[in-house]
Amino acid sequence: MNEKEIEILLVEDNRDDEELAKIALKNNNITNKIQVVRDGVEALEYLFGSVDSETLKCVGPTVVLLDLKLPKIDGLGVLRRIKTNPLSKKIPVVVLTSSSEEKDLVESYRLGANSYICKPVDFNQFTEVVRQIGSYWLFLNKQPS
Amino acid sequence: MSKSKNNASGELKRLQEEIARYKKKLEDNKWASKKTNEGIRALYKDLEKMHETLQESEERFKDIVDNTTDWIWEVDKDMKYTFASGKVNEILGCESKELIGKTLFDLMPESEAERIGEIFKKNASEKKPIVDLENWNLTKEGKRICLLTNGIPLLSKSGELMGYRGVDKDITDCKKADESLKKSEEKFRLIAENSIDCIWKLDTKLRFTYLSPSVERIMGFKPEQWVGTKISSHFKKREFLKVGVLAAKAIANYKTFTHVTFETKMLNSKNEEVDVEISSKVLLDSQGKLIGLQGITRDITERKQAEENLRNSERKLSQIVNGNSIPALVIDNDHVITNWNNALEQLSGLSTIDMVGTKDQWKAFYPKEQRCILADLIVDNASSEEIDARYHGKYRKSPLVKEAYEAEDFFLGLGDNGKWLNFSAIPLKDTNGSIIGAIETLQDITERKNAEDKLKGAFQEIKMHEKKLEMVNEHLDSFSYSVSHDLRAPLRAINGFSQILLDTYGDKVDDEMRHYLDRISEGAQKMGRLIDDLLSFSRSTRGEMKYEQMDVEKIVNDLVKAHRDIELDRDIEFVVNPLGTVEADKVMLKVVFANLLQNAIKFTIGREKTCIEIGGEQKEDHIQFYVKDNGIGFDMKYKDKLFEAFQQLQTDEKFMGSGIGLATVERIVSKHGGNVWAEGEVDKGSTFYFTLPSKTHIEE
Repeated sequence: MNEKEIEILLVEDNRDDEELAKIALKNNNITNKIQVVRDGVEALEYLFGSVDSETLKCVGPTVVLLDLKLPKIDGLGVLRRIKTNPLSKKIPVVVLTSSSEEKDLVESYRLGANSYICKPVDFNQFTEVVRQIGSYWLFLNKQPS
Repeated sequence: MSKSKNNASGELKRLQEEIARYKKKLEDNKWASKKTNEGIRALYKDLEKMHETLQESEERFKDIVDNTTDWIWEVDKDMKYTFASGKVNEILGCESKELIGKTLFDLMPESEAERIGEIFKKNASEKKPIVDLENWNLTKEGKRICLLTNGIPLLSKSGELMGYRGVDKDITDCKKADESLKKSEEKFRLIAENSIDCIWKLDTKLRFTYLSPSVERIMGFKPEQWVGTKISSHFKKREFLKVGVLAAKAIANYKTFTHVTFETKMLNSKNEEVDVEISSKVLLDSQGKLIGLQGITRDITERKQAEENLRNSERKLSQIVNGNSIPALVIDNDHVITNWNNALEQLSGLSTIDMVGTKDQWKAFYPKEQRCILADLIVDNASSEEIDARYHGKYRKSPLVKEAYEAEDFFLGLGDNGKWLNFSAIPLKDTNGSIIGAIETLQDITERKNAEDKLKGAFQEIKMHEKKLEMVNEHLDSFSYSVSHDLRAPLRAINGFSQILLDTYGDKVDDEMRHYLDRISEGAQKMGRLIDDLLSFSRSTRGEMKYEQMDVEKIVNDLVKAHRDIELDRDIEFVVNPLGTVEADKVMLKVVFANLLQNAIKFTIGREKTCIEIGGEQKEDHIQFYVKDNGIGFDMKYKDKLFEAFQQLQTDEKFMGSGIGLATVERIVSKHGGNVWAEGEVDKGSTFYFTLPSKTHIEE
């Protein structure tokens, strides 16, 4: 897969959720532009080459869909790294989580999350959410190149 | 002197007469003389002898006149000197020749000359002698000389006054001594009469011979009322016994007795006893013979009164200290214990009898070390540094009493297991502000200290529990987090994949399969809601509350708008009455209204027209809100069950909820210190009420 074509970086450790997300995205015709990583470390390695690196490894995805509860480095840790690095902070990060905890919501926005979405249990609703995210961040939103 | 002159002249006369007799004898014996010349010669011899004797006698007289210290004079009837003996020179400083022809009065000052002249004139007219007449004369140099004059009139044979003959004695020195005595007596009189104290003299029989006027001030008697009276009549018997013994001793031992001062009581004119101080000594004449006693009597009523007052105030202090149930002691400025009350007796186990009069106060508190106690430091006017050295970290200056200190310490020697004492010492001062002692009060605060320790222990225990609780809460937090995250993911999978199955293989799925797949998906959704409600319920009962002032109407309007957006297929009329502002936790209050609205919306399903009314009312000390609906209502006998978690009054599938919504409302409202209740009737709607305190925060 050509990294330059990657438009969505999905950070998700749960394979069910990953598959449901992929189906939802596929239903919205954006299947070939997804990279999935399974924890915080993988996410950082994908973006910066290594956990400690400060330079971007790639041009970067158009949007990062970030789960919060992740093995090794959690979602908030990844979010902090992306948003504190001047090179990566412009990458939109949508927190896509099961958590409806107020403190997660507040903390995510404090760290610079661009959106905070609760994953609905109902698949139809989930599909709708994914469709909206995709259409907004991939088609509607304009970003500096 | 005149006597010797008289003697001499008498002798002369006698001798002349004898001569005359002899002459006659001579005449008579003329013949006989003729007879014998020898006889005549013998007679002449006798005569010569007699003449010698006469001469001797005159010589003697002259000697006497010349050698006497007085001077002898004779004046004629005009009082002019006709004779003055040689001594006049020594006395008046002029020659006797100069005096001859002058009068007696020429040497006197004018007034004196007049006075003496009168006396002489009178005596001369009566031919009386001048006896011991003092008169002042001036010497040639102008010195005043006092003479004592005695003189006898000189009469002629016919009895006429021829003049005076007499002798003058110089008594100037005696006179002057007399005058200075008079002056000092006058001085004494002035002192005696102007003294506040009474000065008196007694004779040897203890009778007053003199009293200064002050006796009237002190005793109410005039001096003359007491002069001549015995002192025994001025005392009560009991007092006189003392005074009389002293006086008798003084008189008996007058040669060695110096003086005595004592206090007694004398009777005044009202027969009342007056407190006096008497100082007395013996009174001797110039030969050292006892004349009596003299002394001073001073009124000491005021002093006695002051002493009595002092004794009274000391007695009062003693009564205050001794009668007090707070252990206390008093020491004087020599650190000697003057009071050690019963309460302290009990506290220390040392008796009042053993302690008072000693300096053993240390024994009660520091049995192993003889050291000062706080009161000792106060008596010594110790500096803060000295007090600090003894009671470092355990004392402070009294916030109530100036110059007093208080301290707290543990005394191992007291009681069975030692005692905690709170003690304070205050200086006692006289009217001049000098420290005359100190009072120390002690309080057994062992029980209080123990209670404090227990309280501290309990407080620590609470702290520990709080910490444990915090840990439990943290665990609960992470548990909830796990639940919300991890429990929902499988539900999404169940729901999702059954949905995908339906979507993807819809043409191959028969009705029965579709039904089961729908049930699976619905079950998963229901469980998702249950999890959400459980989390909400859990959040409402823990965590810190953040009070803030908020516009309740805005909160409700936001919720109403959200519900309108969702419930598009239903005809719901929301009536929002004025709700005002309230101070509460915003997130929680939102949950309360959200749950009540959801409740109302749910239980009005199936109504042709749903009406939901929200309102509020300010009561005396709280605000009362209500949410009213026209739904299915409930039976009031179950009203208490409404707010219990996981309780459902409805069995109808369409009303099924998690059973947590109202329980959450109840938890939140009671956390705010309010109440929640409901009124309703089956099929006639329900009204849910809740209150919030107006201002006061109810702490968790």
